[in-house]
Amino acid sequence: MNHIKTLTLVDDDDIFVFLTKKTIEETKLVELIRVFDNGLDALNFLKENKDNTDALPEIILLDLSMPIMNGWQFLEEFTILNPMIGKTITIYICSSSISPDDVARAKAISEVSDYIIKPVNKEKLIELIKKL
Amino acid sequence: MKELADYKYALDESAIVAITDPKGTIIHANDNFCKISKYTREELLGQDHRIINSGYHESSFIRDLWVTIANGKIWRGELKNKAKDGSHYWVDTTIVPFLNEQGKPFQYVAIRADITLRKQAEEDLLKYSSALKFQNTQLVDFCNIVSHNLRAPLINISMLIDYIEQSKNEADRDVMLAKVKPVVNHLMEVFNELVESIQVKQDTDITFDKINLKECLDRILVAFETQIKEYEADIHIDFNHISTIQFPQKYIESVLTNLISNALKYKSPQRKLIIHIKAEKSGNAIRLSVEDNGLGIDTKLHKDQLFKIRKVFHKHPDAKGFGLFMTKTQVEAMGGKIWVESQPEKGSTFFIELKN
Repeated sequence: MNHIKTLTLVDDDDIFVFLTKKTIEETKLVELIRVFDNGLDALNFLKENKDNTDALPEIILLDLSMPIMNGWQFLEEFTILNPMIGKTITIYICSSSISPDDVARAKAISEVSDYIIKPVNKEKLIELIKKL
Repeated sequence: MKELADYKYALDESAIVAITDPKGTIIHANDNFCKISKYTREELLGQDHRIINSGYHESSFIRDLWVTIANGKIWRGELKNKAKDGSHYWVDTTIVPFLNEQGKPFQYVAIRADITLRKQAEEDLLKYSSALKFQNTQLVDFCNIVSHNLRAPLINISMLIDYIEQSKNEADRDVMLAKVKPVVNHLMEVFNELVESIQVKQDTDITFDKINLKECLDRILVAFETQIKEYEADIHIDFNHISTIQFPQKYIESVLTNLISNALKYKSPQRKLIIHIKAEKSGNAIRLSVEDNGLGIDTKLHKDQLFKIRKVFHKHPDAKGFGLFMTKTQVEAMGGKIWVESQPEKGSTFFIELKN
């Protein structure tokens, strides 16, 4: 079984965060789940810990539509930051948007591993973690 | 000689013909020229050819025309001219310089064809295609709204119900069940906002009222009286140059209410709030502005997002992301423009430009 240490949720949707957190906890595959409700807070955390690989997440589930800094803006900044981070962070966009524009835009960003359309069930989450 | 006269006859029948001397003074005008320019021949002869200039073309374009023919070369192009009654017409034009023995032009013959109808059709087409483009953007916007803003709460409901179905723990299920209701309420709210915004887009026959800006603003400020007093906000009003505008009453009230409410909501805790509300002329339009010294917005970061539905830029409990979306909808539905200049920690100025 592929255990991972940290998974980070960047999402401002309380219900989604609540349910996803609960579901991931039930899989017992993740030690720590960190939640940020906007891109800026998540980005600042990564910046502050870029040399502290233990604190950095293996997986980020990133929402697109968020206040202050949305998912796209986060990705722009992350692309610049990424080479300075001593750890591979796998990013999945996790959005309620089914707009083909959004999907195409996500596919064009090499830092994004996949675009996942909400809802996300337990099986899908297990698959994502084990794929790592 | 007979052949030449035949040519002239044929030309006069088919084209608009004018002949000028090298300075541009009209020395010959045929019937077609008189007809389209609505001048009599007597009025045209001896006049500078500029009498029919419409002022539509760039001066460099006209200069290029004169340089071409003064150098003895033929000029071809499309010109917009002005008739005696001020109306405009378009002509496809060929100007042929007639040269003397020294190779200098001693007269110019302008042969023209009326293309006003074609030009009008082209302009109409351009107008329709830009209107279509605008509507298409709105449709895409709407698709995005549906995809982002309606789908998200639906997913919440579906995930909650899934969880409730699978959970074996009674207490857990109650917790989940209690979470459904607020999501449904939220969904309803977004839905109503959408309906409201579509209403604006369909309100095309809404009437324009004559608005006394001062009276209108005073009514709005009364509603914010408590907040203004509490924050000791300074409100400066400058309607000295423009005191009345033409705009639907309920829209202008909604627009100003939103902008003032934002200025109050996003004030800086560091400074005393000062709001400037101004109306001024800007070309043919009227420009309204609401300026504050509040928190400001990072316009670089949020450039595409500012006026979209359900987008918020501050961690404020009352930030909902509907006010600016609705304001933009109302302003644009009336053919106006809205934009913002802002700097974080300095303040924001919202501008609205209205055709009047």
